[in-house]
Amino acid sequence: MSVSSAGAAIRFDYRPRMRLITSTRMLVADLCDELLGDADATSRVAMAAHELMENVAKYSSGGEGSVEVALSQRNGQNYVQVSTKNRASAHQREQLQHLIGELRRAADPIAYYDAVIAKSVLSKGSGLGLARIRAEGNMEVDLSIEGDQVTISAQGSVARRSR
Amino acid sequence: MKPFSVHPIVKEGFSLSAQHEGNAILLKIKGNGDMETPTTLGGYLKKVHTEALRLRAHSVVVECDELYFMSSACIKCFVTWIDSIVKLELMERYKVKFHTNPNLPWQRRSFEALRRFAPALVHIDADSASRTQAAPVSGTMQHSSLGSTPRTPAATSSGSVAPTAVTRSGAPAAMPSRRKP
Repeated sequence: MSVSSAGAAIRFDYRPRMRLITSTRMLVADLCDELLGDADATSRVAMAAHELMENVAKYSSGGEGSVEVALSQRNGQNYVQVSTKNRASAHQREQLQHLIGELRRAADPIAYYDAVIAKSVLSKGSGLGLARIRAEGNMEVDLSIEGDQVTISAQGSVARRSR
Repeated sequence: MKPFSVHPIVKEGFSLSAQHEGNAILLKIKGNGDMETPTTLGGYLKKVHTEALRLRAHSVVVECDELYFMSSACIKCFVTWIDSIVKLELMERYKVKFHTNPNLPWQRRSFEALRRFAPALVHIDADSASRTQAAPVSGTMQHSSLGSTPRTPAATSSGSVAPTAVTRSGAPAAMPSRRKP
């Protein structure tokens, strides 16, 4: 973890276990609450971290992954980026490319999320996580792939309360 | 008629209980709903649904005062449940009313998505109704008027101490209290 006047970052390398995910979300929420002082922004960042970490737990090959939360300032604006990194099978990488491509092309995140919710009734899994991050978290979702390493990041600007 | 019989479930960090009150069923959900929760939650909602039909309940009130987080897999459980009500004959349908905690901003956003899924069935309580607009599509996250999360159990305006949060570890989580209307 590093904290400076320009921002703060926290990173965990872990073998995802459910309890660890919940604890990490709480830790992220505490950090954001301390640095941002805004309950709404904190809850969005914590939700995004949780959803991304659950994805790692569900889909990572080899069972290991990392999560990083970074708060920064650019041109007087505060930004947050939550990213997870893990290994994934070729099939999963292909599915992610399709899913995140579709998500990013959707002009209206709320309408897209609503459509995914309606469609989820017919599917076994939820498949809501990434759409939720974009719609409820008001964050953009990106994917980068290097070999079998997958990095999914969620980023957006955040408000900060003066104390 | 056989009395209401859905027994409480208490797991580490998460609990469910339900009771029949007049024409309504009061469903209380507490704790953190994560990846391990959907099986329990989905099963419980099915039982509540069966009982709501048997007792011809007009509504199920979902009390979320101490529900600190719900993953998307848990949201899916609610979608499945609400969809099963939508598929009923009109006369059999009952309302789902979410009684939210305005100090937990995610609840407003998540339950609003459920309301959009079935606007005729899903209601969000008055406390949160004034803040139920969807999150902005782009731009800076908005400042909340709700303040930051208190670190200790907060005293309410009546002077009583708010319920203490449940955590997985069993330690008080110092979660926010419900603000009085």
